[in-house]
Amino acid sequence: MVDLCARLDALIAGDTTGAAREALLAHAAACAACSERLTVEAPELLLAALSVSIPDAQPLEAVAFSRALPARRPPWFMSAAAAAAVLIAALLAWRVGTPERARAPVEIAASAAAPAFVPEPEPDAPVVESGAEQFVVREFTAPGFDGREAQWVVLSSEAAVSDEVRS
Amino acid sequence: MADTPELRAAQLAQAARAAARGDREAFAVIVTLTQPAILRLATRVSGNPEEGRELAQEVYLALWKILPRLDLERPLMPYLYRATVNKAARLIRRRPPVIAMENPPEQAGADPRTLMLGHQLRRALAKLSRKERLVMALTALDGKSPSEIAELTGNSPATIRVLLLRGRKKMAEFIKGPSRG
Repeated sequence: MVDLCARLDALIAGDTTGAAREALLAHAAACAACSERLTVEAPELLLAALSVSIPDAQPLEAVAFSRALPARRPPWFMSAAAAAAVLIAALLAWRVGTPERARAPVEIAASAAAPAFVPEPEPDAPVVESGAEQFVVREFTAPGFDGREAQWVVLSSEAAVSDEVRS
Repeated sequence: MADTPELRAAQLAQAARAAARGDREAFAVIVTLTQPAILRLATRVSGNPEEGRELAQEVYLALWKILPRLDLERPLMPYLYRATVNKAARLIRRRPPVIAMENPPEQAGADPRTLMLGHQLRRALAKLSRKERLVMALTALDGKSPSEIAELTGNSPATIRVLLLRGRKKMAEFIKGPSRG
């Protein structure tokens, strides 16, 4: 009787083909020791071993399948579609971007980077609520991170001017 | 239909050129010549015949669309293998991490632990890089040798062996990992 466990090395090294390989894979799927070894040394062969028993799929009806394929778009269609996408993206960027650029620069900063010169809130400064917390909105103009004049919008909790700085 | 690998390759190349020009009968020849290998690989990578068949259909549909833009001087089979393995990986990554209680009929009598292990191994395969995944699938599930894969993919056998070893290591680590899958 052939000791299939002893031939696992040949399987791992890729030295078996055809029916001998299939027989070793079928053995490995059923043998706990071989499965264990393959899990560590060659997991793809364990997958192959487990796949040996999966029946083959039904073949496609080649002629019927080919006749049912959708009509191909002409090659120029793809170029035209790509060009249209670029044009739309450019238009969107222009529409969205222009008003933004026309305004004074707005700094967006994390709490740790909030400027030390945040003014006292105006008495009628708007308050926004987020969950249980309230934030006072302060708008002012001050140098931005690049040294240029920038418009700041600071939301601050009662504790400190530290929560969030955003436009 | 094809007597030798050379004749078969020539037939395939001729059919590909005609199909690229829109000849559906020629495309049927491509399907006929290649589907035994593609269906087998698709079934084994996906883990069940129904999904394997659907994958193969997707692969051929994608081929039909892309044929006019493919470099037909190069052999078609590597493209088909790559497409099959990559589409299967996408399918596996979309699957829920647990196996459905109701298994497909062909797995009805299978041991649940075996099914889970197969599922985990397929997920591990799907996690590999595209090149590693292709090499692992062709080696393990299609029984190809490193030199055959090298010829198919245009890499050296040494590169294939490196990809195989790296893929093995990654898959083993994925399987060992804490209850992933």
